[in-house]
Amino acid sequence: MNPAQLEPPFAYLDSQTKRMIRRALLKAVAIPGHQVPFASREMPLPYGWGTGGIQVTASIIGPQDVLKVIDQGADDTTNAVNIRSFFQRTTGVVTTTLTEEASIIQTRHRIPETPLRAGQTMVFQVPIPEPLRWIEPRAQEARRMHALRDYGPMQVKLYEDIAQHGEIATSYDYPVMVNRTYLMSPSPIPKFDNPKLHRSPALMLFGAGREKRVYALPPYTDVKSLDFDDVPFRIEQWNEACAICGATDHYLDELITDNKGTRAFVCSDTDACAKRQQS
Amino acid sequence: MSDTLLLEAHGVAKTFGRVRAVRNVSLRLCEGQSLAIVGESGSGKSTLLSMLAGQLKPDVGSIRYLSQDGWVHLETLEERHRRKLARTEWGFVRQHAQATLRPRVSAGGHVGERLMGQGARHYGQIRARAQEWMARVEMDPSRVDDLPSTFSGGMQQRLQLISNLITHPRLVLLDEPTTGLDVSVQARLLDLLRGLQADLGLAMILVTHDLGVARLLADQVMVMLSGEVVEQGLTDQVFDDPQHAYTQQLVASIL
Amino acid sequence: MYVAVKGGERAIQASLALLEKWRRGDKDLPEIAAAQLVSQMGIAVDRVMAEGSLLDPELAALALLQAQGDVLEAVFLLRAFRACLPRLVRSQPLNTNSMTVARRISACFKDIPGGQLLGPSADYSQRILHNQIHSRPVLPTPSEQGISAGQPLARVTHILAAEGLLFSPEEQAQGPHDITRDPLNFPAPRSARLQALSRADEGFALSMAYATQRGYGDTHPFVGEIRAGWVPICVRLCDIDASVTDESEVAIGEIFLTECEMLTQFTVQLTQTEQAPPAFTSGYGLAPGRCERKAMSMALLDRSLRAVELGEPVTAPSQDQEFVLAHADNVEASGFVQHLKLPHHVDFQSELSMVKNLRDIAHRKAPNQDEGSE
Repeated sequence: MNPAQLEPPFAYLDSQTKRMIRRALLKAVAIPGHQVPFASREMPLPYGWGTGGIQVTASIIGPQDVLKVIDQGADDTTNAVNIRSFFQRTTGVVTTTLTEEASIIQTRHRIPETPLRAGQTMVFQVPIPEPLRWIEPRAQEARRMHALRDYGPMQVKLYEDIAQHGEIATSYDYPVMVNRTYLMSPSPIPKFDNPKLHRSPALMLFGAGREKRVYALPPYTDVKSLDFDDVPFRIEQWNEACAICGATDHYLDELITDNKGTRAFVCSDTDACAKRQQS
Repeated sequence: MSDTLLLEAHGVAKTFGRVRAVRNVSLRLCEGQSLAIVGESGSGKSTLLSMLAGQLKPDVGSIRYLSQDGWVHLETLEERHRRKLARTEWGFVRQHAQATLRPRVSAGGHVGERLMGQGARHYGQIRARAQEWMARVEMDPSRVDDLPSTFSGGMQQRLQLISNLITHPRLVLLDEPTTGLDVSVQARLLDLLRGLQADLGLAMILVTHDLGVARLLADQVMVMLSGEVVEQGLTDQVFDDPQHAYTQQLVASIL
Repeated sequence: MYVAVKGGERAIQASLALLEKWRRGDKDLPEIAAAQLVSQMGIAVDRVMAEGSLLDPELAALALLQAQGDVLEAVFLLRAFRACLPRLVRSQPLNTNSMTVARRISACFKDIPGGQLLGPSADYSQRILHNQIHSRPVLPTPSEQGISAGQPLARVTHILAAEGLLFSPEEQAQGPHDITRDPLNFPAPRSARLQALSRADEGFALSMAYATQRGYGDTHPFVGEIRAGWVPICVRLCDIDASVTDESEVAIGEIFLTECEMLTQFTVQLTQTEQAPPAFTSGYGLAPGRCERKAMSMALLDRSLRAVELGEPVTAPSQDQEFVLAHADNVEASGFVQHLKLPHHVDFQSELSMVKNLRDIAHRKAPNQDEGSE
């Protein structure tokens, strides 16, 4: 068999696979925050490098979609470039770096600063979909805990953080309660981005290829970060502003600019930074 | 002590391979009552306790418990309900606290866990309640943030105890709670237990090989040998005037 | 003032060009043909087929070449290629009883019906490095390999079973589970476990199997039988063409397989109260080509993972389904371990922020902190 003779279908996946993933996604949307197993396929990028997000995007993307791909908030990081190029080759869709122009935004580890609108879909790349993993490594027991809403141990973990450190010691992949029902991992976005999930007008889809799970937040879903009444959830703050655009309300990356250890702070979201710079 | 029946077992049996660990045991326990199950190792007392706690299903027979929502049968109880009861109306104290206490969870975390499982969300209040209970069993409340490994065996046992008691359970099961501790530590712990049982009106089932512990804590006693109950009744009566040869032997061997 | 760095895309192009240059290597040397690999590095090709889950030696060889000999990378190429291939037909279960045997030995008995056939194996050689290699033809027929199709050989386990000495679980009514179509869930049925083990990383399977021999788990195994040779693949006419009702089987080809059955100790607890009479129990391993080490490791692990259904206490990692099967796939493992090379600076920044914060809190607490403890 000559490999060159096999032309990949639109968006690489065959129609059976797309159907299977879409069915899983529908289930996920119907049960916000609940992890739905799916028969993840090997993709031309390795597991752990975004195959879940890629499979989700590949099953929902159509010729009229406009695609934005970001990693760490930027469009030109290596992995984002690779994934965007993959979709350009296999779908021919228009791609963009402008958040407001995209109909599908695939992301690793950030939510854009520009507010999302109804009709947009965010696709998150997820390494570990199970929020209870570090509390209960056995999948069977974790499933039982979700089924029985047995989330006491998670609250105990947060209690311990406060007892030992004076505050909750989780900074990214900060666990949330969805619809006051399911405990969910929002993927390794910084906690700074958690509030953007609450009642967002956009559809949020989460894909974990290696762990073989998808889950979802339909538009306008209640998403609350775990905390205590007297130790409420707080996002990160900086004393500095962005060195390029001057923003004080964007997530900032800290950079070391010379051998002496000089620091600079710059927006992680390159599109939002460019927009602010222009205005 | 009331006359309200709380727990009733009827014709319960359990076999492992060729070993008949428990054969044909029946018992009745009322609210606020305490029962000691005594016997040597291999008598089946721990297996019986596990079944009464809903942790093991009997092969034959029935066990029913009067919960807040009415009678439930342990042999057919759903996992969901079992867990709920285990965390609210029941308590279970093991011989070795290390088996239950998690190494990276502080004293406060352990004591507060049941509350958090029920939805308590005020850190300060949870911590304060934990400290109240620590004081109640003569633990230093300022050690509320300390990890279990920094406490002595006796203290760990008290920690295990109050972690169970914070939801005011109606039934507490204890498996050799003082065995392995220094004599003076044992005495203090038993004293505390007796006080708590009276204050909280707890029904208690206590497994022990130590007749002295049984005498101190239990109104009723059941003597087990090779999976069977050979004698039962009021503790003082059974020990002062044992009828069965085995019981006589046990009583005689107390120094 | 800080100026943002651009040009990520160009850097990637350059990287890919450099990779291709290194792949080709010295242009004065002839390029290796896939046929040469199949012929002379057959065991590497076999491994790529096994873990790639696609039995096509030529494609596996191409993958190895493209991957510059990195076996895991080659497996990955083959898996990605396989993932969206259409399924044409499911063959009948392979019947290794009718194998044309190239090698067949047993450790349980000194002599066995049909004899101990040593076949081609390094087991009996001294490990001295030769620097002269004879060329071999590509995919030769059995007779070209010096093997003649003899009488079917009686299976050692069948001999034991006939005397009632082998414990066999009940047949399962439903067909085999396919983990590439239904994700693995725990507890997993045996067919799913066997499938997962068959495509597991050989190194991992080997190490976990090794552990069972060193006391982590309670099996004391003997090789009941290893057989390696050609097995016909048969399909039913009615499965190829739905309009045909003829159920007769047709052989559509042949593959070389290595099969291993391990025999282990004999206590079987069926339920809490029921014990079967003492017998031997088995573990099963199957690998394409001459992956004997893999077939043996798989058999040991299969037996170990049967602990629950055989009523044995689970005390060791090799007996823990979740631990073994969730970490056995090297494509998953390699991807996730190496993904750490991807940019993680946003999360790191988050951690940095938090650590600074916690240090502030600790510093502020320090002057008031009560040093005394019990």
